[in-house]
Amino acid sequence: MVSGSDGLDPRVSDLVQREIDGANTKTESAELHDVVKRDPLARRTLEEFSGLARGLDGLASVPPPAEMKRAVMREITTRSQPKRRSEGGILAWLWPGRGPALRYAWIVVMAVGLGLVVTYWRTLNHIDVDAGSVSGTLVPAAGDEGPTERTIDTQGVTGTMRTVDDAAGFGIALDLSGSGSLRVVFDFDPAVARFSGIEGGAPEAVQAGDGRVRIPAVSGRPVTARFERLGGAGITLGVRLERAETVLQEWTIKFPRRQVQR
Amino acid sequence: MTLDAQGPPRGTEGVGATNFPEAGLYREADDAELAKACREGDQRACEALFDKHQRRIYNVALRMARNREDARDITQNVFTKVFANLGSYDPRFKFGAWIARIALNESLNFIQARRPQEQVDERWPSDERDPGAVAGTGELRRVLEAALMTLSMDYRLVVILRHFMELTYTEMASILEIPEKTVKSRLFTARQMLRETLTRQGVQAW
Repeated sequence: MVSGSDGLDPRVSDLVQREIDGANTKTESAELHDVVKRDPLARRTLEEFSGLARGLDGLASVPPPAEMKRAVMREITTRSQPKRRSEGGILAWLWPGRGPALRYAWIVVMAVGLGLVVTYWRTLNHIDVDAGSVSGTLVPAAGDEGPTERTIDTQGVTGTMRTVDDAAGFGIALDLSGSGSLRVVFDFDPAVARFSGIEGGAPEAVQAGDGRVRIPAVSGRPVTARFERLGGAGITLGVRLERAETVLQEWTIKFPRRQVQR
Repeated sequence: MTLDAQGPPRGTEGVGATNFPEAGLYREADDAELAKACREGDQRACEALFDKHQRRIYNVALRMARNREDARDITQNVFTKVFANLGSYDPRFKFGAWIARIALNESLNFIQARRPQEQVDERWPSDERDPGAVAGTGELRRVLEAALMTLSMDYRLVVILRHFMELTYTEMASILEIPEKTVKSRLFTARQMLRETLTRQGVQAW
């Protein structure tokens, strides 16, 4: 219930507000109109707020620029176009029109190449984590040495937290499972970094404020929070895992200095 | 931002089944039907969704960013995200509330990321008039617009969500993550402040 205005009974004041928001039941509406018939102050208040509400409704009529629709439609159409292949397609490139001997040699070359790529990829991404040796502060590897990952197992929440730091910016990748309304809060100095968005997760539920970002942690929906450096200085990122208003665990993560690419 | 697993609508002619063979039916279809058709690749359904919501979203962005160019960029980003994430829209809930949440987050992120020197277009709203504004309401509109922009963000947000996006108390509470009674209280206070400003300037809204 809202408090009364201009000496109006708080109950009537509340009914007036609910009436202009279309939230009154039929009974409440009838009750208000009954009061309005008898009470000039209530009638004037209802008229004033109704007029104000109509005025506010009318403000939402500034026409958007005409070119906006074309830009958006072009964007989604571009994203939806299948990528063009060169003439003959990728198979023609992988399977050159040569004799049988050359084709077998080509298969061997491709297999060895694929094996090398897979081995290199696994080397890049395989990290042994000794969860017991990590306490409180997580310092990611610098530059191209790859990400740092730790396992989370606290108060019914399990999963992984991994730092990312590349040309696209720095951030934290989370893959958590647990009951209740979980969220992760990031604190940073807005003078040296800014939030640039999330990958995965639920983008519509992100709350970003001045130096603080809250994102929901949904089981089975990995999410990466990305930040951008505003200078070359090292960054300290506070990360807090919460269930409702309870802090389950928190970390301070230091990202080293890095050349900002413009 | 990565796209959801279903990706953006394909947008090519003839792709995806459509239930709206006549142009008029697109206008009459409800948002959930349009969202489903758009997700399945019906380009005209996507356009119908855009047409239906673009003005509201642009006006929300305009009152948040106070700058027409930023409002345009925010609106474009909102719709790009909307179309990319249609797979995560739950049709049991109002489409308007879902898109409002995205618009709100996008606007707040945009404002936060904006450099100080780019803060606001000081001419807004004084030289921006809706050519369709009803004659005789011009003064009320100008004063109300200016008064709205003097409200702090907490109060301005509830007014925008209620009067521009037509959300209920429950929907606003969910988006703003505050109790319903706080929504009502802020809305009432905001309206009181606006009414007082109008009265002070001798403008009647009734």
